[in-house]
Parts: sequence; structure tokens; C-alpha cells
Amino acid sequence: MKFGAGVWGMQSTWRYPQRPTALYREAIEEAQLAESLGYHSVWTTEHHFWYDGYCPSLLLVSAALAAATRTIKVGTGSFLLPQHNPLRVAEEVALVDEISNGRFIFGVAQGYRPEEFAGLGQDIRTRGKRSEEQMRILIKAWTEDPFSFTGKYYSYDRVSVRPRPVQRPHPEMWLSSTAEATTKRAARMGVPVYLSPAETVERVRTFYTPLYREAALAHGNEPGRVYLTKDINIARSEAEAQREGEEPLMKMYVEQLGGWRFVTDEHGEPIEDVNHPRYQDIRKSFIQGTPQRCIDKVAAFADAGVEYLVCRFHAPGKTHAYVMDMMRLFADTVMPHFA
Amino acid sequence: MRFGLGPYSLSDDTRNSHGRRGLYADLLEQARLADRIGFDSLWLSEHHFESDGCCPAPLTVLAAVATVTRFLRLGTATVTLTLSHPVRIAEDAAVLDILSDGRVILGVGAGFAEEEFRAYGVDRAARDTIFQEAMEVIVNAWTKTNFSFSGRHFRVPVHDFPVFAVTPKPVQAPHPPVWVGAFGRDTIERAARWGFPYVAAATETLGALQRKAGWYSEALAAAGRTPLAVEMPVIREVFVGETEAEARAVAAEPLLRFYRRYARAGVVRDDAGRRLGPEELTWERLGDRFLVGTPATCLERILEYERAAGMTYLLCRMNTPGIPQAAVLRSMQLFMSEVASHLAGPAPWTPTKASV
Repeated sequence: MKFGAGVWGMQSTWRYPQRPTALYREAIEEAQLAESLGYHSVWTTEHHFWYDGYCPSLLLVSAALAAATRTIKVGTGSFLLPQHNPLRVAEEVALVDEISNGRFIFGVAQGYRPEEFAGLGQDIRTRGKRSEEQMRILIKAWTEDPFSFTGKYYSYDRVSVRPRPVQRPHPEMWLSSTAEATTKRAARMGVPVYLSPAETVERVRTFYTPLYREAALAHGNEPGRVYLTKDINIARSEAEAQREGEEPLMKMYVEQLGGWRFVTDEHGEPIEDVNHPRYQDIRKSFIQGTPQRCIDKVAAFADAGVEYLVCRFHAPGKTHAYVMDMMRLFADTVMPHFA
Repeated sequence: MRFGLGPYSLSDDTRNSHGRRGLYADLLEQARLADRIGFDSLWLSEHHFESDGCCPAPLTVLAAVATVTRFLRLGTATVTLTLSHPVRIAEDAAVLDILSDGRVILGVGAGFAEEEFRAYGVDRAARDTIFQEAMEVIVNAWTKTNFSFSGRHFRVPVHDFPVFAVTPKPVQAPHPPVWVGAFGRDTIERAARWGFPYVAAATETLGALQRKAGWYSEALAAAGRTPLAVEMPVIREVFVGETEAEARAVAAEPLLRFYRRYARAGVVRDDAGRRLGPEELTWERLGDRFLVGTPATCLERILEYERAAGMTYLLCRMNTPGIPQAAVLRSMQLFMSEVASHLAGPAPWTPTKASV
């Protein structure tokens, strides 16, 4: 199994306010540490127009992370593709691939917040269809020179994207999925499916892994590329993991899921009680506790078919010191078991 | 007087053996040196679809520059406001401003190349109004905690929300300085009304710069602004050597080759505004718009630009394709130690308060 580290959204929340410049500087330090500890990749996450300054510019930040590192891969997890102009994306991804000398992983997702689509002048209702068309455009733009494309939403006539990406045939892509259709699409396209932190061992084993495997084999693609991201709260004691990791993380989820109206009470209002039953599944989804407990949990996901784990060490409220400490502890104790 | 390096595009070049990859290594090495020896800024331009000199996302490349420098301001000359959604430009510039702890100068332009408008599906004939609306969106996105915009080309957000704000906000208050790349009188006067410095194309002659500086100053005065308070940048090709002969031997051929390409694109003109074809370009004809020679020659030319065109900020392009990296670095060092040192003193305050 391979391990990535991150995942930086650069948020300064009201509970844990931080100077934005410090957030970005710390992310770069954490990425450099990840490289020295042998992680395979580092990751950022995108949202727009949220009060806490959630990072809207992943390709730009990826260029910064690439310039600050030498060997580690730099990924977006995930870039919200249908909120963007595909030609612009094709050019900029190629540029980041060039700046990183082929170390870029372009992870994409569809996005879901209406404000984000509206603010960027994009239609949320067509996001699924557009993102499918966009992925076809990207691959064409990177592999054909010049490329032409006629679609329902986008058309191009003999356009030459410059610079050309370094990776051949094109930069590595991952496709985020929480559903059957997207999982099959990833398998059909021959790109890894990237599962969300909420997924359970059971669900991965019984649903995603066989689904992806079957669809990939049907299209002659590699059948095992089921990738996952998880919140990590590793510590030398359970109490420390709870205090330093779980507590700020739960507050973040409550604020975000409530604020974005994903978890609401019967009146449609956000639920602010961290101990509300609606939040128990989230609490259980963390990979948390002593190194041995984390090894067991990671092993269970490995058994369920996961080949790549992106570790979410960073979250608003987890201190820079604790994140750096976790990254070292995880690399020292957990990673060797899966070498 | 202050000195910047660039604006550069990422020109393909055969001078190093690492192919295009060497471009970034060279750029970052120049940036580190510029940061250490006191250049004020480094500038990148935006170009699309060209096999040579292509940089489709200058803010993204500047993010890489930001991580290897501490003091250098990071400028675009220019970002094309008509090709990307203005909110995306505001977001990218704000994130770069945070990454660099407040070092961004956003140079903006309306775009030029027909090929770019065609591929992006943007009506080139409407570029002027798109440009004005985009500028308004960007400044509001940076500064307002709740905003909406409704124009001919943009509606932000498309549907109404009780509160809508673009985040994160830039570090610089009220927002990063904006410089307006301009060629025609309308845009130059608009820059003056907005209170933003105007930056002329690298290919303008001294005579044209002088004339246009006049338009700009008049418009500034008409808008009730103080000319002395606004930066007057000029872009020139600069190369400093120990002797005239050495400087010319290294820089003349690459510069002529570079300008012949410009001439083929139809952007090289004489003082009277007549277009010059590539075959008309000789060193004798072009040499007086370049700052090439000994430190003493360059110093003299800078004072001439200061007198004639009111220049307060010189953007030095030293990285012409064909000039070896070692020679570029040497020229940068000679420039700072032997030329800039005679022109010390703060540049005028650059107002950033917009009235867009």
C-alpha cells in the first residue's frame, strides 16, 4: 500500500483562527517533512466562497508545493472540475506537471455547493455531464496536438495546448466517487477511484472493490485501483488522540456539515451538538488511536481492496506540532507494516 | 527608482541541455539571485498556445517563485482579464498574495492575440467592456465581505444568495497593487481614472512612451490625482557587460532575433507609429530602445528615460532566449552593483486604493 499526506484546505475557522500566511507556510513545511519521511504524495483540497478562506486555487498551490519539494508527488484531492474552464485547466495542469517535472496527480471531483457554481458562473445541474465531457477534453488536449473536440457543452477547433505535460501519455488522474456511476466511470476510463473519508471497511469490501474490479476488467483496465482518504488521529495514547485529533476534527465536521446543511434536524437547521447520534458514524470513520490500532484499521482497509491511502493529518484546530508529530509516528510505526 | 526583472514568458530555448525543464531551474535561480541583490520584483506574462514563449498561467508559476524568495515582489505583465472568469483571477491572486506574504502586483490586460479569443470562445470585439467589468469584479471580490455584480458579461453570483463573498482575502490592504497594461489612449486614460499605474508594451519607442506618458498625466490630473504619487513603469531590454563590445557580442544577436519575431506579429513600430517588418530590423535601427552596454551607458539611458518619459520603475528584461544563463546572472549582478546603486532612493508610493 502507498501513503499520501495532507490534506490542506488552508482554513482559518472562527474556533481556531490562524493567520492565512502561517497556514500556507506550515503546509509547505509539512509537505517537506512528508517527503523526507517517505510518503508517496501530498494533497490539497478545494472549496470556494467559504468564510474560513478555504483554498480555491489548488493548481497554484500545487506549483508552490512542487517548487518546495524534489521527489514527492503533488496531488489535488480534489479539484472541482465542473466549476472550471476545461481549456484553462488543460493548460494549467500541463504547466504544473512541467514545474513539478512530472510529479503531479490530478484528482478531480464534481463539487456540490450551489454557491460555488453560481459564483463561478457555472451550471450546477449539468455538472455530471459536463465533467465527463471535460475529462475527455483534458485527455485529448494532452495527447493530441493540436486537438479538436465537439461536444454538447464545449467545442474546440485545432487548439495546441502549451506547454505539453511531462507525464506520458498524460498527467495521472484520480476520480473521486461516492456512488456507483462515478465508480464505474473511473473503471471504464482506467483511472483510480478515490473514495471519501466517510467510507467503511464493509462498504469498500462489498461494494466499491467488486464494482470497480468488474467494470475495469470489462474494459481491459487494471482492476485494483481503489484508493481512499481517511482522517488520521494517531498518538501514543488513546487520550492524546482524542484530545489533539478527534476533538478539533469533530468540531470541524459539525461546523462544516451543519453550515453547509448536510446534517440537519427535523426543522432543516444545523445540528450543533457534537454528541448527536447523526455524527456518530463520522466519529467512527476516523483511523484513530495508538499505532497498533491504526495498523489494524489500515490492514482492514487493505484487505478490503484499498491500494492507496491518503492520510488526512491536517485539519483546522489540529496544531502544526501535532500534525508533524503524527506524520512521524505514522511513518515510523504504521507504514513499515505495509511496505 | 526601483528595478524589476522581466516580464518573462517561458520561452523555449536551446541554451541549456535540460530542455524545457531547464527553464524553471533557470528562472528560479534568477529569482533567488534577484531576491538577494535587491531587485524589487519579478514579472511574468501570459501567453497561450505558442510553441515558444508560452506561459498560460503566470500566477501559478509565480507561486513557485514565491516559495524560493523572501522579498521579491511578484508581478504579472499581464494577466489577460478577458480569458478567465474574473472571480478565478481574484482568487488566484489572493492565494498568491497569502503564499508570498503580500508581495503580489497584479498587472492586467485586455488581451491581444486573436487565436486566444478564438480558442476560449470570447468575443474579441467586446474585450474592452469585458476588461472593465472584470476589473470591477476583481477589486470587489478582494475587498467586499458581501457583494454581487451584474453587468453585460458577468453576473456574480449567477443566483442570489443572502451572503456572498470571495475568499480568502489578499494580505495587502485594501488589495494588491494593480498595474494596467495599455497600448491605446482609451485604456491609458482609464488606468489614470482608476488611479492605477499604466505599463506600456516592451516594444514601444522612447518617443511613444513620452507621448503616452503625457496622455496618462493629463488624465490623472483631470481625475484629480497627483501624478507624482503614481508609479510610471517602463519595460526595456537590458543587458550589462564590462565593455560595450562584450555586451553587444552577447546580446545583439539574440535581441534582434527576438524582435524579428515580434515584427512578424506586427507589434514593432517606429517613433511615428509605422509598423516595421522583420527585414527592416537592424541593430542601428533598434539599438536605441535597448539598454545594452557598459554600466555607464545603461545609467545614462535610464536617466534619459526618467527625464523624457517620467520613468520611476524599470522592468529589465535580461533573459532573452539565446543569452546563456551565466551571462544573464552576471548582467543582473553588474546592473545592481554598478547601475542601480547610483539611482538609489525610494520609488513613489503606489496607491492601491481603487475607484473602479
